[in-house]
Amino acid sequence: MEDKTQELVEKLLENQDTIEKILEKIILLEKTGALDTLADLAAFVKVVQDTLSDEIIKKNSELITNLGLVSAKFTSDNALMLIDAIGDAICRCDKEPEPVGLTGLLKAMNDPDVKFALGFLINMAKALGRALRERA
Amino acid sequence: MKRVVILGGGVAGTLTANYLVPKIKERIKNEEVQITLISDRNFQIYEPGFLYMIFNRLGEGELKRNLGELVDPAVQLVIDRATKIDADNSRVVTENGSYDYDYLVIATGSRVVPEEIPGLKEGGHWFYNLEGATRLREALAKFNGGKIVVSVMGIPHKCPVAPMEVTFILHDFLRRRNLRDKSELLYTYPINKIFTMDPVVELIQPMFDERGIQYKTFFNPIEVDAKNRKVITLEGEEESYDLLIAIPPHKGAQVIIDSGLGDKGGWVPTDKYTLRVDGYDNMYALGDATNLPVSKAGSVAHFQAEVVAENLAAEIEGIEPTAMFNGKAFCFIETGWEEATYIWFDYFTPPRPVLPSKFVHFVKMAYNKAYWLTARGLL
Repeated sequence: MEDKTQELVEKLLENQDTIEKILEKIILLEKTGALDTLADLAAFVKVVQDTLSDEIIKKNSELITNLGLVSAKFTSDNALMLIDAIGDAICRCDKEPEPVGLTGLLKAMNDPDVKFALGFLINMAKALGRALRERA
Repeated sequence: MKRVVILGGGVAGTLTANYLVPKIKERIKNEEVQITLISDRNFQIYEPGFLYMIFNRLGEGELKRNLGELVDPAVQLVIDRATKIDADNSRVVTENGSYDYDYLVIATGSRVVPEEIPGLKEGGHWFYNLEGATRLREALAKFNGGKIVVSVMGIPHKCPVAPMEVTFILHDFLRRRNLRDKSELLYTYPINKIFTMDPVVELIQPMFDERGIQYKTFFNPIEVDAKNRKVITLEGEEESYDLLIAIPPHKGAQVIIDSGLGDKGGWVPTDKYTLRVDGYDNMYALGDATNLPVSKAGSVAHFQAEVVAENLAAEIEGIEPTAMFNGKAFCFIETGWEEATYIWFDYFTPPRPVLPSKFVHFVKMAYNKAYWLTARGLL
């Protein structure tokens, strides 16, 4: 027993500086009540660790990764411009839509704005076709 | 128009491309710069996944993604095999064409050459490429006890910590299958200690001892006697085995050797800070392809890609490039089926492994899936 006490004292003395620093931190944590929060957090971390498994980690990481890869493309300059423009269009489009037949459609195609949007859609269809072929 | 050609579709190549695009996107849009990435295959393999694939913890399909998904759409992706780098004329020749460049990024990686050790192909296994990992997975599933030798047969090799990791995981794999008592595990390393870095040895060696994992140092195999299942070393030793898991010698890409740009091992002589190819102002090299005294690991390629992309962008903008690579590497080390530690180090800082834990293992498992975000330049 004496040997063990001796060992403990030696260890404490060897690490005196470190232990003093740790104590200061712990005292501060206790005084501010943060130690209780940390203890709760530790329990939470333990629950997370005990309930996680390789499979859960794999599935969730895959999901986040796929979302991340897709989001990289949906946040490009072009995509952001399109999303922003669609937002504007939705906001400005306050008229009740009227039913449109073939004649109406042909008439609408004379509108310069509709022409511009169609040009954009055709460009997109081209790029989409190429992207689909590349993946085939 | 300035042309940047990136040779290689691995970690180093895709990351350089993906980091470079946002830095010079206006110039790409205005067709002042074109970035071309040449890869000999249209997919990328997450090679660290082989360590899990051999134990059936990750499937082959989980280790592959199409390059189209990973490379920024502003990059011209060419699937073709480069046969020669004509450095004097700043041109890359491929099987189906040729590409002139103003700047070349060599990211051609490394490959295993088991044929360099006579008898290894016939008598041994490895997990450093898809074909080897597939074969080893089968052999491990059939293993019913006996002596497994994990032998590092050449330095440098990819992922320096993987031989220790596979040994630890094997220990638990055998325990889980009730085969550990019927099995011997021997780890061998070519130099006078079980790993090149002392702080890692201090952590790992006692863990080997606790688990009854044997180890031999100064062990340099020169031949495998496939018939009698023996490894023969330069030091005159003979070691028998039932299952041999070798870390075969590695070499640089054939195109580097054929272009006369590499040293004896096919590694490209590269400045350790600027990552410029020695003797060429318009060529950078990074990742496994270089001759640098840093780990051949994905993380190194990652940190180097940041430097190469920054310097290339500066050069394209007409600014003096100032980014420097500081030798940084980051490696997870699995120390069992479900615990791991990690190290990071650079030219100036030695590694300080943390105590192995389940959480670090979970982070690694998550990263095995999330790696693709790194390749895309997002993580």
